[in-house]
Amino acid sequence: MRDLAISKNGFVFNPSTGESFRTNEVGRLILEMLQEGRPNEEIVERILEEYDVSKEEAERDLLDFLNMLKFYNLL
Amino acid sequence: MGDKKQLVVGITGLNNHDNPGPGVPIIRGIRESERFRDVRIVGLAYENLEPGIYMRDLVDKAYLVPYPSSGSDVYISRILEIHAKENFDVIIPNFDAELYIFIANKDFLKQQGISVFVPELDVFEERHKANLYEFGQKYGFLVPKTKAITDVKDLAFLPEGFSYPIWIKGKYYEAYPAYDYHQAVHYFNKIAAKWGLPIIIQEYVKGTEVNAVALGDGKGNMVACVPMRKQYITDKGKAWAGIAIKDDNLVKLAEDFFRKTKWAGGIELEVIKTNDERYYIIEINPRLPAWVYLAVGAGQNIPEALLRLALGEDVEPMRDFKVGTMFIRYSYDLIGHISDFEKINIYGEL
Repeated sequence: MRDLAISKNGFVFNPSTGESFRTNEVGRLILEMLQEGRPNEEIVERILEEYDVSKEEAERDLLDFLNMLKFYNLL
Repeated sequence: MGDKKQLVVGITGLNNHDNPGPGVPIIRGIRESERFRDVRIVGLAYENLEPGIYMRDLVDKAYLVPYPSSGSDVYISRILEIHAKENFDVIIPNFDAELYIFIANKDFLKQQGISVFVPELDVFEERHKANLYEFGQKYGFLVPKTKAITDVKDLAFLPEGFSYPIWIKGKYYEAYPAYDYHQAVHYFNKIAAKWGLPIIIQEYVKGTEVNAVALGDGKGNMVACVPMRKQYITDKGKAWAGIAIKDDNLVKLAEDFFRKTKWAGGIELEVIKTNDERYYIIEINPRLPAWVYLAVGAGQNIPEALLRLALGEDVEPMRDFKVGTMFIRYSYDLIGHISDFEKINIYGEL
């Protein structure tokens, strides 16, 4: 996770596998916070600050996103 | 270079088509070298339509040579015939099947003034596809179970430890995964018809294929290494695009290989990385691969380093390279003239 190169435009490069991905603004925010070692609660709080969503929705979306990262061996 | 004679380097593997040899990318690396500004590149080709013959900006002169299957004596006498005209300093062989001849005649060629930087015969044979499993056992590398077979009947009852799917491989080239007996027989016959026997069957290890191009100095040191993951593969299984990756375990594996074998020259390591981070060597190609120019682009001019080693120089190991460097191959139409084709056909040189 720490090695991931994340561009401002949402392009994500995994240097150890050569794979690349595209993510949106929220995905980029989550990835950057994960790289900084922030806990999930803090990530949810930040999403709530930036976007007009309910806490449940933010938590659910974060969980989905984390599962997807695991699927791609990024977490 | 003052009054010094121009360096003359013979290079094979000019077959830069859809199953490309490494000759042309190696020449590009040498041409881009700051150290070797004045090199005469002499291409050694097997077929009169090998594209490298006609790349006049890269190849100064090209000669046809007989296939290695013509025999060592025939092959070497043609090399000496060309040597009489060109006065080679170094020859860089790039074709698996010709390496044996160069290894066997290394000392003789040296006496004639031609340096070749190739591994010792025993280790060259040990890492052969048919012997790879035993090689892994001897040197402590993970290798999928591998067995050489010479009769299609051997596929009816797979040896102990094998179950489908398995890989069916030619002794030099081509490999196909077979998911059942019928597919295995089909690929056995297909490969045997083209490349002869034995056919190698190999356990199918699940994971991601990663590759490395690397160079050893023959004293146990690794001089260069760039790991790569293929991004686009042709129907012949050749990488048509790839990316330099950061894989310290693979670099360490290559380093171990050179330390244990004292291999002299280039290799291409083909490895399956499993989900639990184990690295199985599936093939060790005994020469630089056609994608070696990726290493040049990423900051390690391996062809230049190989030429320096062949000239007897000490080369400082290169460690850094730019992760994320990519290569994307493309096809390109060279325009030639029938008169060139005529010359290579009739005189065997251009």
